[in-house]
Amino acid sequence: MTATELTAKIADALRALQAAAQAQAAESLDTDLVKMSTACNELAQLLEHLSERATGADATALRSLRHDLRTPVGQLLGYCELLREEFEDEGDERWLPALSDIHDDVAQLRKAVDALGAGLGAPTASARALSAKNRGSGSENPPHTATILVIDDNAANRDLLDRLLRRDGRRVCQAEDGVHGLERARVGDIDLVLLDIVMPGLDGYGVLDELMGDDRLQHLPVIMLTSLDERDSITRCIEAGAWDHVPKPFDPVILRSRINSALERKLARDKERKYLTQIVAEKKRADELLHSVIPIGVALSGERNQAKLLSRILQEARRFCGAEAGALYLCVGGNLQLQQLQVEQLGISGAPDPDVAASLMNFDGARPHPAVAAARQQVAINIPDIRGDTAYDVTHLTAFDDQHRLRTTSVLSLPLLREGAALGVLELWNARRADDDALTGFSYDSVEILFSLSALASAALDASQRESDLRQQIRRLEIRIDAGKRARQVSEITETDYFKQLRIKARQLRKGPES
Amino acid sequence: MTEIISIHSFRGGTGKSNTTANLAAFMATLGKRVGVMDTDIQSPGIHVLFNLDPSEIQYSLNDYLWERCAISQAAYDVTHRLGPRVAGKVFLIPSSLQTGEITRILRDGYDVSILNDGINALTRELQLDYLLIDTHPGLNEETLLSIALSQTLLIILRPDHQDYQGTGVTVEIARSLEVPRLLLVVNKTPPQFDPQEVERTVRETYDCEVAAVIPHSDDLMMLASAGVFSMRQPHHPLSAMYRALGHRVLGTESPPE
Repeated sequence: MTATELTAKIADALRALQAAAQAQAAESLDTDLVKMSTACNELAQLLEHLSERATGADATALRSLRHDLRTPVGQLLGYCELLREEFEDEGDERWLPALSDIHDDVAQLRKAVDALGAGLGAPTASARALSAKNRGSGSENPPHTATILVIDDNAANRDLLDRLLRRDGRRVCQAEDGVHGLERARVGDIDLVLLDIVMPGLDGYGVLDELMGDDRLQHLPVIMLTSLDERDSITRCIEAGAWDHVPKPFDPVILRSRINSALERKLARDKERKYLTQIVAEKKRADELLHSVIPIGVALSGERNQAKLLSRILQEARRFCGAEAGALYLCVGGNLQLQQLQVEQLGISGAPDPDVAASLMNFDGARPHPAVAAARQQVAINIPDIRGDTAYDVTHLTAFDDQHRLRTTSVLSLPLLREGAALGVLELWNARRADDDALTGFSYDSVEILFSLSALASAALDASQRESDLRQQIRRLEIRIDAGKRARQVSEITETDYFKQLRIKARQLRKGPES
Repeated sequence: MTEIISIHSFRGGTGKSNTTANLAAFMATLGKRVGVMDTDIQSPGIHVLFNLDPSEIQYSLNDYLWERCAISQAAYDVTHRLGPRVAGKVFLIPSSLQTGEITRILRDGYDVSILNDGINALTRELQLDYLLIDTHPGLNEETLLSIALSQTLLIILRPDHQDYQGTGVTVEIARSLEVPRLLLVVNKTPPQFDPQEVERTVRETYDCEVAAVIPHSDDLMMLASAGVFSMRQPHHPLSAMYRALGHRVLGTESPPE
């Protein structure tokens, strides 16, 4: 049977099946059969065009025709397999015999198309441009959830892939051309890209180049969808950074296994990158500790003036995270007392005015003041946005902002701990990013570094307080004598006979020998 | 009439011997005849400050107490060891440095009345203006005797909690023995202290005159008892303090330094 005869047979079978589907009100099947009939008609037209140009056609034209024939053949195969799988899953066997017959005929047709123009060699760029219209695919999906971006200008191909992938629990995004595909990829949340090569405008090669040139996207796995099974096209894509390729028409098993393989490799690579990022972050933290935090701790420990020490602790902490403002509280008699206030925008730096201190130490709210919570719980309290939903009372800050026309967003309260007790609290307001000076929350890394700094600051503070106490104690020179004990000790001596005699003798001696 | 001055402390290590030696040297520079008796029989040491070599000691206080010699035989003129311009005299009556002698005194004791007789004889024979008695720390029989015989008692203490209670007991005992003049000397005072504050606190605590607040001195430590400090370093501020203490003890006017 010739390709034309096979195509006609398939068209008849599709019409018969569609009539049966309409009779039994199988609407979704009817919709898919319309798409299959469209592909079959396109195939018939291409075959007719082929017979007209059979004689005198050059190799390039024949290659292009063969490429174009593969697209509708692939779509027919894909729909057959997809529908069979769906009905098998649903346990609906009514349509399976007819779909199997159609599938067999399409498979036979594919062999005929593959035989056509065998040995014609690789397609040229012009051939690819000529056939930049429609593509085909078909297959299935793997286990874990992932979001796959399908970039293909052929709606039927996108639909087929979308349905196949969703059957395996994938999330699917579609893009009808290269430009939209790139836009969607740049939005993020994409785990893998299925990319058609031949598309109008920005083709698959162009999209691939753009992806690989983007620092954020170059690690994204890209599987090329190609009806061009020639070696140089595949080689070019792999060299440009594609992870794999799947030739059209798709073998669903191969497509699924390649997607799975790519996703597993991506997972492993993501883990590797995450670990690498962690290692880099840890190294950065260790370097900062070694080269920045520890020298500051040493410098702080040498500061003898307590007011200067408090000011410097706050200043250094602010410098580390670029905080616009901050406060330092000390635990005095079991209560927090504000000792230092630094607000860059207002030029405030030092011991705060009593009224300001009182307003910032408004600890009577229904929810806990972050500084109080940090001291009591001995943990860092990190509030990314005080105007968002927070479990802490920040009315003192919003009131301060309103009074001075400021806008505080992020707050970090760090306890200054020493031997299991809180000496005070270091509070920082409005972190700024180092690279662009933009306001941001306090990052995990900066909290970690600041915790190390606060430990060294606590040690310096503790030493300073001890020294200050000692100095005061020394200046006071407290002499304590136990009067009762002294009386007992004195009487133990004075009550002895020896002492009594000695006292008498001493009196006599002092009176002189004459007496 | 010889004035007997005992230099005492409740605990050891207060700088008693150093104070005694510096006072004796000061008095000698004023032309006084001074005797220095080391009654710290258990741990003698003042001879080192006067550079008296043990081999030079034929008789000691121990020999006198055991009636092996007269007290004057146990007195050594150490004036020339203080320096060239000393108008007076300093006689040192050392305790024995021989461990056997020390053990014997500790084991068998001695009749403290002999010590009293010896003191009387010594002041008479050597025609002393002053007899300084460097006592053993604490309160035992010979210490009590020294205190009882004294016209002036100098109690040395450090600004240290270990010294406060015992000093209080010593002051009360001295009062009970009716010592005519009681003076406190705060020695080895750390530089962080305010001397006036120390003087006031000690005076009010013990209700007793404070003759001097002498700071801790690394220079004195460096000398390591190899001489009398105020004679070795007469221009040192500490030497001026010893001289001021001497004037206070003698009740004389202290010239401006």
